[in-house]
Amino acid sequence: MRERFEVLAMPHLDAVHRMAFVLSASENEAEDLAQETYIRAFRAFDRFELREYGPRPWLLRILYNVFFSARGRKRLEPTLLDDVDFDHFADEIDQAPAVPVSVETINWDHFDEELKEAVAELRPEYRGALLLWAIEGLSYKEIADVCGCALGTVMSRLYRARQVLGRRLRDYARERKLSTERFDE
Amino acid sequence: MNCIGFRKYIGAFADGELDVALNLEALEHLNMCPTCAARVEEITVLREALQRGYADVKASSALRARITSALQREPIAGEPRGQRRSRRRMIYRLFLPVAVAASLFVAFVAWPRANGPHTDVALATLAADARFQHRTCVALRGMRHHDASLPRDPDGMARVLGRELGMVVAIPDLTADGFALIGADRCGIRGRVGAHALYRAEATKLNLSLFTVHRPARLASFRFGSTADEVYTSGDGELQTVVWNHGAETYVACAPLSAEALRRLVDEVRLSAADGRVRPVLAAVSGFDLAARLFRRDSALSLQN
Repeated sequence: MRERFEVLAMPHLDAVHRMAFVLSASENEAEDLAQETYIRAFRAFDRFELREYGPRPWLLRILYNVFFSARGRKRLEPTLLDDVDFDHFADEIDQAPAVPVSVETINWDHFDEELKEAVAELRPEYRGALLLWAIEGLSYKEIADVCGCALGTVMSRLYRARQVLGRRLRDYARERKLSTERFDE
Repeated sequence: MNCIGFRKYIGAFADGELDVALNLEALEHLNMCPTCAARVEEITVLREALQRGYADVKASSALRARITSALQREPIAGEPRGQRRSRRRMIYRLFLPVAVAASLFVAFVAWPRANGPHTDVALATLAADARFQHRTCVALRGMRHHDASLPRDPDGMARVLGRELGMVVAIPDLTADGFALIGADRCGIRGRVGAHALYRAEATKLNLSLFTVHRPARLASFRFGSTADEVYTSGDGELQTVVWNHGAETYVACAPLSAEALRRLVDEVRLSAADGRVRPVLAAVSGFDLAARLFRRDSALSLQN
């Protein structure tokens, strides 16, 4: 069983460690979180069913629980005050003021470090959803499964995270008098 | 759908989360609205920037060793260590001959299909992602989104793309099947950048995509059967996608053809080392697993056949 667990789970260590690093913003804590995740996963392995998503979302869900447990918060904690459910998500977008949109977009190539700083400033729940989407390539359903929240909550958190990042980096560009370059093919 | 209506779907569209009907409505809107198209593109670029930013965050070998060592010290769930050892010995004495016979039977029945529903789901997801990417490229950039900096000849395209992406790329000649190569660019599936070759059949106005992408993580754990090429076909009524395997790689082709026609086209292109009709030009890529491979049809050999 140990060997089967290692064959199934160890290939995903980079993903688990990366998410642990993003959530904790600390390399030392990330390593501890990753180790604790694998130990807990191994202990629960006899109950694990290889469902359609594979072991990676399962491991990430355990990591998510480990991280928030360490902060004294239950996994099924009520969503953040500004989370919305699926039914209200569309209403929220509809009611948001229509910001004049320019065809010019941020050239993210210039903002790698600033982008990471901006991500680190997000709430952990938003950070987690954002990185599960961007780096781990999980679907909304998989993210909801990992985070233990509703689909609408995932959509809401991604929407807000992207908004915050966009605003943060446009402010940065304005402060530094950098132009937002047109995104050219 | 207008801009106000599209606003609530921008993220879900960019993430490939809309159903077919909404997806088509969104594509129709994007074809006419560069502003919304720019917003969708911004989300894609943000994702690529985040991937770039965290690409070098990896588990150290020390951490791997630490975890392996910690797992070795963990008891197997449900039993004290001493009892587990004696019970294992008893199990082996009593059941080993039966277990061996059963495993041989299961292996025979399962061969050549070594993976079950989980592989199907992973392949289905990859196929759906490929269809989405095909539609997105067509809607946002048009079929002729050939990168102007690339050479116009297939060999040149393959050489430059390959050098840039760290892989050997070949662009297959599909003119015998009525498809002309109209461009190549750097595109990917779900944000994983790779090579995208675009073809068009003027007689039928059909567009075809061939993708070379890094193998999605969800396929990393699966080992495909190796006795025969397993071809997986799926469609949504409009686009067919074929995902097929040869050796250690997985390949993706997407077009609005019937499943039978696309599979026939794929069969013509697939590696066939036995009869020498096609020759692989693409070599293994260090550091990445391929999700698609592009072959060159050896025209000289074809004429001889």
